[in-house]
Amino acid sequence: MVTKKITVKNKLGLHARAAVKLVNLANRFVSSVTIEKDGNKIDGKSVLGTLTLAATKGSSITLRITGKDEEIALESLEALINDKFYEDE
Amino acid sequence: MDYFRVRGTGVSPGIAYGEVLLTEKVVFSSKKESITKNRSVKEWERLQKASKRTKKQLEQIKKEVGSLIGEDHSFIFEAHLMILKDKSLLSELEKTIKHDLCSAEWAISQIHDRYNKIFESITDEYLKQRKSDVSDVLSRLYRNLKPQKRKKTDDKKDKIIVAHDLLPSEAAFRMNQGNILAIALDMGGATSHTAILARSLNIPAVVGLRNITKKVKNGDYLIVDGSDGEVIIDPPLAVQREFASKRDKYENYRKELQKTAKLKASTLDGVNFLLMANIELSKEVKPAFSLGAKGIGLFRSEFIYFQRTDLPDEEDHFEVYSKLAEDAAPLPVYIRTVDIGGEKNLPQMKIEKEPNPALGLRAIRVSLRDREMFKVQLRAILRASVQRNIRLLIPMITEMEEIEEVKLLLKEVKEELQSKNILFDENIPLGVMIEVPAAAAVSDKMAKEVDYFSIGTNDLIQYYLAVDRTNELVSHLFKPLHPSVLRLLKFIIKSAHKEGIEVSVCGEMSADPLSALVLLGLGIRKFSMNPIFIPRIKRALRSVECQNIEKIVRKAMTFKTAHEIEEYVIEKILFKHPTALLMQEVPLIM
Repeated sequence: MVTKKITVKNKLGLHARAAVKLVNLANRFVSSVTIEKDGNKIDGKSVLGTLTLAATKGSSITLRITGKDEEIALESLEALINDKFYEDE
Repeated sequence: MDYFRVRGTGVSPGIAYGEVLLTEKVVFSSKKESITKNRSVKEWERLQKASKRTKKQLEQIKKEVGSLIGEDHSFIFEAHLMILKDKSLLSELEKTIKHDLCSAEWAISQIHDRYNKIFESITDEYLKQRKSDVSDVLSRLYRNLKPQKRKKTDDKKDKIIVAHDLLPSEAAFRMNQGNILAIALDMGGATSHTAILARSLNIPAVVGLRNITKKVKNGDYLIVDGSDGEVIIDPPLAVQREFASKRDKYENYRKELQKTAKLKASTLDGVNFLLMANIELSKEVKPAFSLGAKGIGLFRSEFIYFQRTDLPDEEDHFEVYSKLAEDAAPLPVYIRTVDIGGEKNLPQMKIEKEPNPALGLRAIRVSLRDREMFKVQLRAILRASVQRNIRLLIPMITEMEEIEEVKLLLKEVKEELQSKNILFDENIPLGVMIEVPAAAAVSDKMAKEVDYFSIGTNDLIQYYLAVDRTNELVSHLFKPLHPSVLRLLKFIIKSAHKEGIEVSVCGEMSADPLSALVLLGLGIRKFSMNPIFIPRIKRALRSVECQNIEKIVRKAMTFKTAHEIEEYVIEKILFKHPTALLMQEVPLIM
């Protein structure tokens, strides 16, 4: 299992559009993806779960990834979040 | 036959008559009926079928919206599709049906409640609103449990959309299909995206009707009067005729407007005047210009605050101001710093309730109390001023000291920006609203300190005559042509002219043809108003000789009462310029 704490940097946080991108990316890997925020754990492959996380700008979330491709999965997801989901702000 | 008239807010002018197409708000089942185990398997199959139908619909909408108005708007349906096929949603539904032995309807209602509770507890406003996405999907799913046969031919007919509320994407989709006659909503306000969209597409719309969805059913006939903010259910023939003629008048008026917008803004004797727009959203710039506005005479920046629940940061301000500057360039934009407080209170500002808000902590008084917040706004305005078409306007100035304080803060902010090598207009004009009688009385002194005056006649008259015009017990005393008001205005205008600074009027006096003519006679050449009134004011001012109006007003100022002044001015103007006040062909509100 790999774990990493990341801060959400885009202005709107994990809103619908960003959540869709995140979940789409997570689903490309066979590893299981769990996202944790303030003690709440959700399935990173579920858009509903991701939305209910209410991760606003500046909140920190923890990715826990387990499986064959965990390393590359973590790297990709981290890049997406750090790139502000390719949003302008 | 009985008929009802329902009042709302007209947010897009025009009149339409047609059949209701109700986009129902799904009422979720509240009764739980126990079923057998065998039956529950059937229920689960029924739900899966509904899910397939829903998926097909969403894919179809996504495709259509995408090709009609762009991928940007269709994205939300991608999210809806993902919510629909979310594993945790489906397994929760399956579990509820099979364990609780209940109908598919009940299961969806339960899950809907559960997610609503989760989203309710979220504090971030933007994310909180996402519950409507989940709710949308579940509603659609619920509706699809019972397959509905839609009559295809019926859908092609032009209809009036009646709904509780419309999501922007849904509104965009429906309006672009081009078969919408009008829109009537329970919810909504003038600045909602749906309202803006309706205006730009010339679709009459009335919002804030509270429970119109409960009062009508599919197939009912409605009149939607977006000009006066009224909806009439099942109107009898006589009422239909009345509105048909109102609609024709409106259509003619709209054609006239387009012609008027292109005409030159000068009086018969060649005196040029300038008409500008009072607006609240950057999106309003282009529509205002198409009505003939030659600049934004008043941008009410407090609307940046009204559209959110937290405090905007510098970037939020900057985004709005630079968009304004860009859309208006090279024409000027007068940005009035926040006029909050009084009746326009905001929860996020934490201003305590005051016994007398009109005389309390508002506008510049708030800004000078919370200087950091004020500096955030000043910085954003300065940064957006690089095209040199932004003017800074300070509301509710009462005394000279306030101007000095604003200047000091402005200097501080300018130095900060310079030290960071950030570009801005170093000579950004600084003006003040003259809307407190005290400021008017010392306007000769103030004219030496600022670059321009903007007279806010609404507040000025309210304070000067001590009349709250929203109080119907005294509103008849609110008289813009009261001799005292004309004297005060004359003094302000004289003060400005003496120092050679610009003076304009941005209150409602500008939008009333008679008052505007009097202002012209007093020496005003710049008027700013709600953009929809620009064509009629342009027409009034174009039909007179400025010299003659000046003479009439000079004489009128010797009279004792507002009544005498009004009578004299109307009589004289009509004698010389019989068409100046001719407004009959113009609907009261466009």
